[in-house]
Amino acid sequence: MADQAANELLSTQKASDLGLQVVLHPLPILEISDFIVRGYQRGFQGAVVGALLGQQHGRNITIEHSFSCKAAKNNDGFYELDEPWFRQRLEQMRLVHKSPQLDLVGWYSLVPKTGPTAQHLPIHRQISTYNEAAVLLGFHVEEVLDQTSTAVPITIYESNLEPADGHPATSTTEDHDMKDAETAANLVLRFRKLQYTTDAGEAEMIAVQHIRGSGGGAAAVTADVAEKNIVEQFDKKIAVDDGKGKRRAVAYQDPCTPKQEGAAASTSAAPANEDSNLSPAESEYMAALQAKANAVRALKSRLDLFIAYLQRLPPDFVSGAQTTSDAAAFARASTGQFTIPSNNILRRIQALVTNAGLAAAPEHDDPVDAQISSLSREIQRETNDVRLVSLAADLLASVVEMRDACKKALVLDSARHQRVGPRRAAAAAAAMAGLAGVPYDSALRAAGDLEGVNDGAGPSSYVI
Amino acid sequence: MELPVTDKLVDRQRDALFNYSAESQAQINKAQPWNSDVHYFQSVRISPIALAKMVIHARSGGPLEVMGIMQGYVDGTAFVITDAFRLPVEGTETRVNAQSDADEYLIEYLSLCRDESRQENVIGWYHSHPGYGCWLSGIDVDTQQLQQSLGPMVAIVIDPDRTVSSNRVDIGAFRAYPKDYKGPTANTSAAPTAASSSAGSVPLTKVTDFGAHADKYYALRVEHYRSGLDGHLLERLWNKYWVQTLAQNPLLTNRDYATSQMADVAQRAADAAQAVARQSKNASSAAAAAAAAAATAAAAAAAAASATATASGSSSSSGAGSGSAAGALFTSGAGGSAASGSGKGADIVGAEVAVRDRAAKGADAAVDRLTQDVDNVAAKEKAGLMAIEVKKGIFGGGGA
Repeated sequence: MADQAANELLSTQKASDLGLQVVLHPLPILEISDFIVRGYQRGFQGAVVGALLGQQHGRNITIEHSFSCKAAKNNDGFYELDEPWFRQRLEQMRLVHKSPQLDLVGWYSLVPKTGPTAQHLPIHRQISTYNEAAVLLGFHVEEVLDQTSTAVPITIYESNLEPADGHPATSTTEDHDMKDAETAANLVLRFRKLQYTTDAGEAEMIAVQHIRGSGGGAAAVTADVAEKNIVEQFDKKIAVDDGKGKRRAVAYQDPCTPKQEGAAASTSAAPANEDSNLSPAESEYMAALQAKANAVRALKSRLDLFIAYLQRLPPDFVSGAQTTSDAAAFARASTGQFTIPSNNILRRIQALVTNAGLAAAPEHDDPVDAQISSLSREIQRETNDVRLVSLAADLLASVVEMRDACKKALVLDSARHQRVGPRRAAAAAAAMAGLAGVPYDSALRAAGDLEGVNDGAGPSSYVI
Repeated sequence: MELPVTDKLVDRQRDALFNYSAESQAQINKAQPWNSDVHYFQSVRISPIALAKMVIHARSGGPLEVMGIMQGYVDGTAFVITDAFRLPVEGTETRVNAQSDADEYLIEYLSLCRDESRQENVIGWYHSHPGYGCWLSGIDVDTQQLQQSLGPMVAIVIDPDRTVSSNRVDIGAFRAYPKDYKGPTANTSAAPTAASSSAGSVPLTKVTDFGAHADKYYALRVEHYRSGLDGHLLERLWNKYWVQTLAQNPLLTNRDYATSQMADVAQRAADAAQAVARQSKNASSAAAAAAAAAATAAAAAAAAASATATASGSSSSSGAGSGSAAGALFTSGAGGSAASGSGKGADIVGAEVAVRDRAAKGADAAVDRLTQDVDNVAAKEKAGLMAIEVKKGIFGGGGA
């Protein structure tokens, strides 16, 4: 039933070349994602609906900004925008987005892959009263869940009033003559997919790259967030700094004991998702690896395409027996069994292969020896620099750790050398703990342990 | 239209920051731990949309300062900024009452948010310093002090010009001290992280304004987070740019930034070594003084090394510089603790410990920040090296 409704709403006309050209910026995509994640986390019970703002110059539309909208079910059970609320919010947005001036260009919602349904019609009509050419940006949740898809799960639809019986009509005015039985034209709102391109302003691009690269996970620090819509229970965890600059999710201990910053308790329950324990540096590295892997996969798919093309050329053509045009006709006639040879394509593949051969310097070739060695020298220099920086980082980390170890050993040493009752040792430990920045009871514990263990003489100064 | 019933899109634990608990916010607002500790807040975590909106807004203002409000909540010692929106005010630097002009807009905006059941409160304000760096001017400090009296608030500054020119987001988050509080005057944990940041020094026209108020606020650590869904979508979006991903050479494009970062780290390592040496000097022992002298000598060597590094533009000597400064840190740390231990022992009481405690914590905090920054730089460099190795693997160039 839903399929039928969707098909009715999807136009059967071919998209004309004079249609709208849409440029989509990344910020609306992030806003929709934010809406969805927030919605799930907070048990949101309404419709995921929002308005799109952008610039419209003739047939060119940009979608640059968006805001979520308040929508409620009307008497028919369909969602409708709260008009006064919407008007106020739109005015506010117009006021602050002055350079360049942004205006309402459409709206977004969750849309099934098959297309908009009757549910989307009321709001679309409302938006169209503000802007006749309003587009609908459909976010396809199923496509996000589909692991095999790599496309952005967004389709942009434009709408047209078309006659119900399918004959093309070019009506741009709102011709609501449906009550008139005389006219044959029964106009219905239909949607049509639009091709869109993505773009970003320079500042936007930098911000988005930053988000992509160095964004850490959104795991909480404190475990006090009350859960409303519990899909599954999860162990409450605190992220504890274990002194190495990494945050480890630790099973939440007895809430009566005061939180101690150095006391990283052992992890009793393994974290549900190992990725949540990555430090920001590590997750950035992983994101870079992921991007590289995807890029390599894309390159491979392109190369596979070339290889498949070349392999399936008609054999007569390959052996040189046929001319190109004859072979092309033959291939077309074979309906898919052979690929159609084209001199243009073959020439370009040849150029690609030659260039690749030049870029990939051969292993042992004397005339280009100087070039190889300079390239490899350069790579070695870069590698050395990077390794040096890593070494400096590791060196600093180990210095800090040694400092900590030294402080703790000092506490034990002073407690041992006091050789007074446990109470004075405790007082000394407290003083030294305050001085050395070591947590009090770990120092106390250490002092107590050492008193029992090591009672003999020993060097009083630590030579490093 | 509605959210489909599935638990695959959102991970409860990983995306926990997107949740909001009114009860825990009410609790923490009643307890108000920041009133007793001026240094309570340590960091700021910014959501993707807040960051994107703020950067775009800052850039759209051109040479004019722009201003906006941030919404979010408090999570432990961190501010979590979930969203941001613009205010219809411009040119904030010369007008103290810029805030009051926008009050009507703010009230209306927030009431609309309540209507659509967005629960977060105002958690701070942001504005831009086009071209002159991320720090708080005198007017900004006054505004922030006023804001902080109303509740937990954070001030964020963005420099859109330096963002674009250095190809990374230039952003700073600050908390002001109360009016009668004396911040730590010179180096270590105070605002000068803004001045010594890799983005460059403060221009001469603004440097007096900067210096006069630099001890009235401190900087918070800025972190960014994103949800799994965000990462997923961006990954798909970025597949269109696969050619650029393969062809780019991050080490080359980031060379200037990495060099300046390493020089900065070397300088701060020298400073931290000096701070620790000073702390051990307070324990009044000959051994400590000798260690301190060694530390300052090493620190001077590190500073000299970092100077040559910036001159020659190669990162290797600054790496060596920070290495020797680290060595100084280490010896002074060990020597200082040993000396003070054998010295006073159980006679140390009260106020002395508190003062030394704060100095120790300041030095430790500086060292921790240093470690984190170096880790970040090292990670970026490694990622760049990985890019080169991938290229080498694919195209087979470069020989051994």
